[in-house]
Amino acid sequence: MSITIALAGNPNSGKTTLFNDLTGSSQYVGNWPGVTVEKKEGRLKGHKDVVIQDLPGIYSLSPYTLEEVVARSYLVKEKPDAILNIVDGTNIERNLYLTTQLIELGIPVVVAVNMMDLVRKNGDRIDTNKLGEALGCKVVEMSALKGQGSLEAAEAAIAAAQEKKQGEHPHVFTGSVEHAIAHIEESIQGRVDAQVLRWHAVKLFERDEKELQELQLAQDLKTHIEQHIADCEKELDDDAESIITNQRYAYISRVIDRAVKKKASRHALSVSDKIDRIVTNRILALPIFVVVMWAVYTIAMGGTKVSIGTMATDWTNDVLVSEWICGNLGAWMEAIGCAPWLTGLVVDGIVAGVGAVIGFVPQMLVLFFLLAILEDVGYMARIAFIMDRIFRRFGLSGKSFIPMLVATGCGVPGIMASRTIENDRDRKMTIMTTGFIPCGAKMPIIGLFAGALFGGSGWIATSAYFIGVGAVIVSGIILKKTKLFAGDPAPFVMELPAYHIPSAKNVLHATWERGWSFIKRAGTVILASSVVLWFLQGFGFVDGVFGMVEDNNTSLLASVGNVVAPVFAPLGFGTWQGAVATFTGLIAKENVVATFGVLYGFAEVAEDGAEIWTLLAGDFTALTAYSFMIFNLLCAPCFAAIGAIKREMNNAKWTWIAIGYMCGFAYVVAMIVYQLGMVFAGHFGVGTVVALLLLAGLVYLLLRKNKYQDSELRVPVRSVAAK
Amino acid sequence: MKTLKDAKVGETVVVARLHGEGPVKRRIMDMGITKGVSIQVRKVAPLGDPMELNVRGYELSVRKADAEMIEIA
Amino acid sequence: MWLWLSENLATLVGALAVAAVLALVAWKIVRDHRRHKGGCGGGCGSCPNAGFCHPDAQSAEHR
Repeated sequence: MSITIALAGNPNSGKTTLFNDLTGSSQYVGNWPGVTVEKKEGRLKGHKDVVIQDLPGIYSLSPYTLEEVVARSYLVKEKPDAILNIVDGTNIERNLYLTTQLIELGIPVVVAVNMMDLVRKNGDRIDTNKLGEALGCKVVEMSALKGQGSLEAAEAAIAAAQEKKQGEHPHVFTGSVEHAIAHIEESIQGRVDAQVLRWHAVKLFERDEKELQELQLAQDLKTHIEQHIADCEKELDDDAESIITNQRYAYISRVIDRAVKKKASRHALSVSDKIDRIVTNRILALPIFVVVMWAVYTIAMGGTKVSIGTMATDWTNDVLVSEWICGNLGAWMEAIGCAPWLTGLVVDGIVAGVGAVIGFVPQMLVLFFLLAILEDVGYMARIAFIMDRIFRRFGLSGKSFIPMLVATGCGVPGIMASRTIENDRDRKMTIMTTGFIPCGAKMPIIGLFAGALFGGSGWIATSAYFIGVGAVIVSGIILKKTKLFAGDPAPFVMELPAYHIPSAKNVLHATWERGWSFIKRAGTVILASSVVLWFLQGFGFVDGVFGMVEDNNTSLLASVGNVVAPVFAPLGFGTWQGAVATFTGLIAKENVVATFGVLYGFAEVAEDGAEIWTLLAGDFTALTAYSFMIFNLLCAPCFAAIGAIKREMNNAKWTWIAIGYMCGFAYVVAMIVYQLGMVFAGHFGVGTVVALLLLAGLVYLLLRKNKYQDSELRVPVRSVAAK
Repeated sequence: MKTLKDAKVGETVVVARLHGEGPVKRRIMDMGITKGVSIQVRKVAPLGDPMELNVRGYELSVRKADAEMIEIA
Repeated sequence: MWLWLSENLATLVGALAVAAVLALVAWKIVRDHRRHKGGCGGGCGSCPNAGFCHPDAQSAEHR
């Protein structure tokens, strides 16, 4: 007989760690049917017939968010044999709020108080026996991170399931409220299982939408119940939902008084708080953010003395690739008698393309390392907090910022992370703009031009990052004023975890993962693309005859490229090389660099690995290079990311809108930058006029009055959780 | 009517009443902000929004617009 | 014919090697596609959205 135990608890209570502990590698991850909420289940280690069902992290069983609805539907309809409720011991009051609701379901509940090690460190004391008595169920201690207590908690849950005894319902509600609920229970007796009677009654008292929908009570019954509720509301001068919530918390306070002794005054400033006083300070926070990102990009990719990243990359390019590989490989292949076309393919094609990208690995590793540290320390969460106000100006919440943080590594998980945003419009907007943030793959493009034309300045990379962020903000403002996206921002209530020393294991692991995927892509996709490119640029029609060409300007690739190139002329890079490189970027953004490597004969020069820089500098000026960078930074992302967008949008029309928007935006911005930049060089022409018009148009879109914005505080609508 | 929005950094206030309705209000209550609870204002982000509070022993960040719905004594 | 073979041996071997590498790459790309592995190549362990790269028929039928 198989037993199912449901895991329920607040987000951040350690549920995931516990789930992994209990199920190990036997977990199946999928999603709840019909909704975009993750569903995890697995078998308890060592117990073949016990299934652990993980529920989404929730704060309560209200009907307002997808996660809550999914969790409560499961609990009410599927009736697991027991619930293992994880409670964060350092946050016990709020966590118990969910507990009271779970107990009402009539299913045996075992409470596992997690993070006991932290509780003890804080000097607080939790008496699990007294707590259990007050709540009416068994309470165990746990410290999931330290690996203590997990199995015992599961065993306790199994025992509770087998006893099938539901605890005595604790007396949560008092006075006339309890009275009213008892009445409601009587009224609906027989219509619902006796086990869940109390839960349904309470929900009806709260006028829970989903309950009313599902129970389909007769009109006179509804009126009867409504009468009871109205009476209570009048007596306590508050609305039903608030009454219930207040009473729950009042009950919890009584429980806490009996079972928990807190040591420190909870208003003392912790070390985290002291740091935050500066970091999230009203005036200093944004400049600090700029400085931090500048430092990150400079160390990773800049040209200064502390730029470890660049120094390592230079060494890689100069020594490893140029001298060892190119010089020797080419000579070796000739020596053993390989045909020149093969030598060309390998040296000028594969090595040139892949080498150009691999050269950036050191810089990428340093960048990923620094970003991983920022994340692990907890700084990134603060940024969401800081950015929330700016984001809210244009109707997005700080929650939309999290995908963008992820996107600094790779855009694909960033786009998928938008799933946590409930509001449909916000989600779509986040998906559309996440691609603007420079991902790891775009960095080599920046690095290449920074080195070739800007003396390796770290400012190029930093400016690229902030242009990405700026594009997101500008897009948000513009789009929120259009009919498609107008609407109120989602409620933003967020917990800020304390700062902690970054764990070397996590940071190194994250760095390695991102770095390795970069290398893997170089060895697969980029390699293949380089070969194809080499053929296309090495062969062409000369005087009507098809064959190998000396000058790749006459190649097949050039012919095709020249057809498309004029499109980019207003942006300053109307060369076939630029056009081709941009298109290869669709396969993978690193390809832009690989393409330049192949086209400009990266491998050709043995001594001076920087030769490609000179050639590039010949075809691009500082201005056109910057414009090129901006375009590639902002335009449509690689196929993998486009695939992710398509999966998330689940709608062809929207996918095209997203891609079209990104390309259009990129084009406009790059054009404005180039044309207006040319004014400084003394050129003024049709292009300048067009650019000025576009700029004016942008400014108008930014500043125009939002006719869709409520001037009122917000009229909350009852039905939420759009999907 | 004095609301949480008017509270200053470092101040500890007591909630008198919650205004508004629907999911936002519910979410605020679910987080522990109910009638009679005491809240300490820890920080206010740059540009004044959001506010970071300490409620029932943990840190919570809330928008100023939401704070306006929380009437304090 | 043998003369030609011996003269161009190096090229032949080299060309075969390159072809083999390309085939490997192509096979890997197709395989990843079939398994719906995200193009990020990040490894789903740390990805918060691992639930979507590994949809499982068994748990979906729980309903």
